[in-house]
Amino acid sequence: MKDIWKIIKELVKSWPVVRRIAHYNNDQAYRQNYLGDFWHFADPALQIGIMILMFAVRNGEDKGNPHATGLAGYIAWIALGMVTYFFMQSAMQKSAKSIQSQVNMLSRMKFSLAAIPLTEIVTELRRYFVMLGMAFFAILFMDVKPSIYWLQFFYYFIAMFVFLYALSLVTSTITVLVPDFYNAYAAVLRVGMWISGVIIPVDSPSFPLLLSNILKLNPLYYIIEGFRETLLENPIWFWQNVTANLIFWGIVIILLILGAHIHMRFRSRFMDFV
Amino acid sequence: MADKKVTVAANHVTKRFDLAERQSDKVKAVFKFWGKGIPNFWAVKGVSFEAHAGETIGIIGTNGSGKSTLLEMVAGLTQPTSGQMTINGSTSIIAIGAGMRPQLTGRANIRLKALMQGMTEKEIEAKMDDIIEFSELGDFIDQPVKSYSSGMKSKLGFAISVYSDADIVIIDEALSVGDPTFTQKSMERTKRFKEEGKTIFFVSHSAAQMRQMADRVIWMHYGDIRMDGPIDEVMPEYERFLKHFNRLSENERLTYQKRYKEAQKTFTLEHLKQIERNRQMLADPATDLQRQKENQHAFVEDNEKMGWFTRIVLTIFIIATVGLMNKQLLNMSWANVMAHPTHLITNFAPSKLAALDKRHGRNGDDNQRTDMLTATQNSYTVKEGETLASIAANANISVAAIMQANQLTDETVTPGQVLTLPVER
Repeated sequence: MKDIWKIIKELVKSWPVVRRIAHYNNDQAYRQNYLGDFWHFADPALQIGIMILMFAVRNGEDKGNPHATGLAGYIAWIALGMVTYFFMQSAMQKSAKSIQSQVNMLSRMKFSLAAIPLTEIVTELRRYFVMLGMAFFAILFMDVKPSIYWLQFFYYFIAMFVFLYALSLVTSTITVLVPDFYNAYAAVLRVGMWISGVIIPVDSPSFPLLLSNILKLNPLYYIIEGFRETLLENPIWFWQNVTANLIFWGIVIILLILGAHIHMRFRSRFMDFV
Repeated sequence: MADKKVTVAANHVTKRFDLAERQSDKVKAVFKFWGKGIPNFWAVKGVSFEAHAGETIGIIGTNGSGKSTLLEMVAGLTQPTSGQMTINGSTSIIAIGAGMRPQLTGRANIRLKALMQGMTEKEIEAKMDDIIEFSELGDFIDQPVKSYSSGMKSKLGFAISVYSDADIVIIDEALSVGDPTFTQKSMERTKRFKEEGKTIFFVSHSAAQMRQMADRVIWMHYGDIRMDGPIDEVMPEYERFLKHFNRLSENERLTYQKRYKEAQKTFTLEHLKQIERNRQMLADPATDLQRQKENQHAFVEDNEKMGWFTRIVLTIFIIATVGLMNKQLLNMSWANVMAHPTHLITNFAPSKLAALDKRHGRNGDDNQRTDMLTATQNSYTVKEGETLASIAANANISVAAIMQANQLTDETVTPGQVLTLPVER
C-alpha cells in the first residue's frame, strides 16, 4: 500500500519528463530512414489489412461472428480490435524490457525508475492514436452512428492504461531478475491475439461454454470487447456486466500491489542484476 | 565549515555484493532462505562522513577500495545495503561515457540527457550551444557517439554535466581522460562550482590534480575510511603508504591484498555493530545505551518485507477475484451463488458442464453448422421451372462447370433433381 502511494507520487512528479521523453523517442525512432514515420504505421496497417482480407472479406458476411452484421461491420470489428491489441502488445512488450535495457543509463540521471515503463507505454500512445483515428474513420464510414455510449471510451482507455502500467511493474521487474521471462512473455503476446477475441470471437457458438468463459476472463479481452461495445453496434453500458468489471479490477489491483511491492523491493538492486 | 549546510550525510553505510557465478544465483541471494551458500563481498564496510555545501572532497585509494561504489551511493544510483545515506539536493555523476546511447548523435544525447534531468525544450535550446562549445567537439557533435574516441566521450559527458546545474557533482576519474588543456578548463569550471556553493566529490589518481582541487580528502582503504581530513594531512600519509606498498615484494603485496580482501568477505553487520559499540563506550560511556538505541537500525540490513496490512489486502483481493472468476466460468447468477455456494465447485462435474452447454445451445451446434454450410454451398435441389442456365446465373457459375461437376450430357434438368454446385475459385 505504502509502495503504491510512493510510486504514484513519483509518477506524478516525473510526468512532464515522461511526456517529453516519449515525444523525443517517437522523434528519434525512425530518424535514419528516408520514409521516417511511415514505418511506424506501415507494419500494423499491413497486418490489419491482411487480417481484414483473410477473415472479413474471405469469410464473407457474418459467419462465426455473432457480433458483426455485414461485411462492413466485420471490418470495423476486426480493425478496432486489432488496433487496440497492437497497442497493448507493443506497450506490454516494450515496457517489460524497459528497465532491463535502460537502467544503466537512466539510473545515472536521478530519473524515477518507476517511470521508465510508463515512458514506454506513453511512447506507444502516438501510434495508437493515429491507428485508432484510422479505425475510427472506418467505423464512421461503416454507418455506425455516434451515440452517448461513446463517452465510455474514456473509461476503457483509463482502464487499459492502468492495467498496462500495473502489469508493466510486475513484468519489468521480473525481466530484470530472470531474463528468460521476457522471451516467454514475448512469445505469449505474439500468439495472444488469437485467444483474446481479436479476430476469432471467443463466444463463438462452436466453442464449449467453459472454454469461452475461460477466455473471457482475460483482461485484454475485457478491454478489447469494451471498446467494441462502446463504439460499434449494440452498445451497452460498462456497469451492466458487474462480475466482469469486478474481475478486471481485481486483477489490476492484485497486479498493482504485487508489482509495486517487487519493484520497490528490488529497485535498489536493479543495477546489480543487469 | 561546520556552519554550512550539510548536503551529504553517510551513517554507517555498507554495500554488499553477491559473488554469484550465475544470474540465477544472484536472484537466489536476494532471498535469505536460498542464498545461504553464496559468497559475499563487502565493498564498503560501514562508512560515516558528512559533506557540506561548497566543499570539494577528493577521494583517494587504491583500485578496488570502494571509491566508485561509495560515490555511486552518494549519487543515489545504488542503495546502501545497510546504514543511511542522506542526500540533500540533486546529484549529477560524471563518469567516462556514462549514460550515452552510442547510436545517437552527440547532439541527440545532449538533448536526451537534459530531458531526463527534467529540463524543458526551451532550456535545452538555450544551453545547447554552450554545451557544444564547452565539449570542443565541433562538427563531430552531429556524428553518432559510437564513433567518438574515449577522450571525446568524456568531454561530452563532462560538458553535459557542467550545465546540468546539480547541487552535488561527482566526478569519477572523468578528468583523467581529456588532454591537459581540457582538464585544465574542466578544473577551472569545477572551481566555479565551488564558488556557487556546490558540493563536489572527485576521484583521481593524480596527486597534482588532487592538490589543485580538493580541500578535504577521504582515503578509502578496502571498504573503510582510513583517513578523512584536510589535504595537507591526508595526502602525505597516503603517499607514504604508497611508497611503502610499492617497496614490498610481489609476494608480500599479494598477501597484504589477500588479507584485506578476506576481511571484506567475512565481514558481517554484527561485527560492525560490535566495533561501533566499543568505540562509543570508549568515547562516552554515559550516553552509550541511548546511542545504541538511536543507531540500532543502522546495523540491520534493509530487507523490505511486505507489510501485514498489504498482505491481508492482497489475500482478500486474490480470494475475491478467484471466486468471481469461478462464478463467471460457470455462468452462475448472484442469486444462485448465494443460494448454493457449493455449486461453485460441484458444477465443474462433467455432466453439469454438458448440461450447461446444452442450456446455452452449444451442444452439437458445430455439426449442424457444417451440415448447413455444405447443404447451402455444395448441393442444390432443382425447383419447378428452372433451367440449368438460370441456376448457373443465380449461383454465378458457368453452365459448363455445373455440367462437368455432375457429369451431365445435356442441359436438361428435372425438378427435384439434386445438383452438386462446384465451388468457384
